Amino acid sequence: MARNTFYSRLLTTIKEKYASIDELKSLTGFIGILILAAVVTPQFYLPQNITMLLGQVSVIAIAALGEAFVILSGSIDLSVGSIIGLANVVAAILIAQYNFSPYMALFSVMTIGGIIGLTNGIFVTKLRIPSFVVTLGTLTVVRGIAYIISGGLNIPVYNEEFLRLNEVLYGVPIIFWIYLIALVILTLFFEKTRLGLYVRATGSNELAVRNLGVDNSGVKNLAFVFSGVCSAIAGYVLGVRLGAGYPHSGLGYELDVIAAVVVGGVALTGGTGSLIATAIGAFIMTSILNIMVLAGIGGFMQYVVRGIILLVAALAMRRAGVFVK
Amino acid sequence: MNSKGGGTISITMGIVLCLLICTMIIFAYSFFIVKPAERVDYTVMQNTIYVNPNSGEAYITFTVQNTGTVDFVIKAIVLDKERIDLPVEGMLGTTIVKVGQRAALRVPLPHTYEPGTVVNLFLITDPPLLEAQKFIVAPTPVEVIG
Repeated sequence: MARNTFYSRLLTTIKEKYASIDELKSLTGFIGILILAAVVTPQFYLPQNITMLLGQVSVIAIAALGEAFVILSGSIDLSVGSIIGLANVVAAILIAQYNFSPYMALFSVMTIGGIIGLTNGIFVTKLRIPSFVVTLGTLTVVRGIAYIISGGLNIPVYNEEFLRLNEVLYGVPIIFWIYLIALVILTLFFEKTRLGLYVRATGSNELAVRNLGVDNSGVKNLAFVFSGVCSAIAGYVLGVRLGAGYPHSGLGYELDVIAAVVVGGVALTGGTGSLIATAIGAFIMTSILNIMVLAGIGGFMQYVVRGIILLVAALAMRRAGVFVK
Repeated sequence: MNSKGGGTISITMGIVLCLLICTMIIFAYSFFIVKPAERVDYTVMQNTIYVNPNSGEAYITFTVQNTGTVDFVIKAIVLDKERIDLPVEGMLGTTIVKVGQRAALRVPLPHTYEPGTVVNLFLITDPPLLEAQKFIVAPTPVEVIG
């Protein structure tokens, strides 16, 4: 009898701990995916495939970091895919036609991303327009600008320093190192600073946070700026992978990025989630895509499977009471 | 963090200031440190080889438009695999093509070509084309004079 009570208490404690750590749920899902990969396509674990996967995940994962900030603050940013495309084109033009150093080109596109993010933020916070509508508009405007400045043409980049970023360092693609640096910096900001706490608090209960005297408009603007900057870095990284600027690059990425954030366990209602969980979410989405390609599943079917995964994640969140505010 | 406090700036103002400084750094860099890359690019138009079956005389006429960012000189033309260094005796037109301008050339050829065939024309310029552009050739029809 006493033993039964002990086990039931232990089980309850484990369940509570499991529910309290955001990363554990998405990590469980990722482990499930890894087991599935071992069964369906053992070639998933080939070193070449893992290296390719790390390169592939970097673009979505970097953009997802910024998107997580916006969603955690209680808004949404649909313009990430277009910012990726614009940053990709601008970086290629600056390096190929204006002789910018690759690092200065990165700095430039980050600034452009920040300006677009701030514009989104100001429309949302000062003009009180829903973020969904604002960023839907920006999505189209920014994509149009990418087409205008490139003339709709691809811009090849022959700069060796730029293309060298697509190489591997200690068995891991350099672009993945870039992602890891961004992840560490933003996680420290998110977990250890007061501003990081305010981002979460604003998403959780905006009115209460405002009543406490917090500049929650500023916090939201900051989240949008982070999203713009992260998307710009993602566009630059995409340019490194492609060796060129493509005006149509990043088309539809906003859905992949939002899916990665949601699968990572960040609540679309804001306030709940973490950046590490978002990273795991990006890995889950990219790994599934990779497994489907290796298993020879066609492109049309891939859309269906990805959609189902998103729905399953939403159901899991509903069970965990994430949608209840 | 409280924007309402005296002497402090709001988060939004902080972001605006930060982005302004970044923009000024980029402008300063683009004005004082880098200059646009020199890129040779051109379009070949109205290219035809004319042959006189009676006399065996042959010449090529073409127009080049400089679509790059730097003036260039046409050092030679390559017809399929035959290279003809310019200038040659009897040539009409200039080999110097300025940015955005067109140059028309008439170059006598050392031997005749079969009418009705197509010959690939490629230009060797100074400064040269980028390595990746070197597959760009202009298919040139061979026609009989008159």
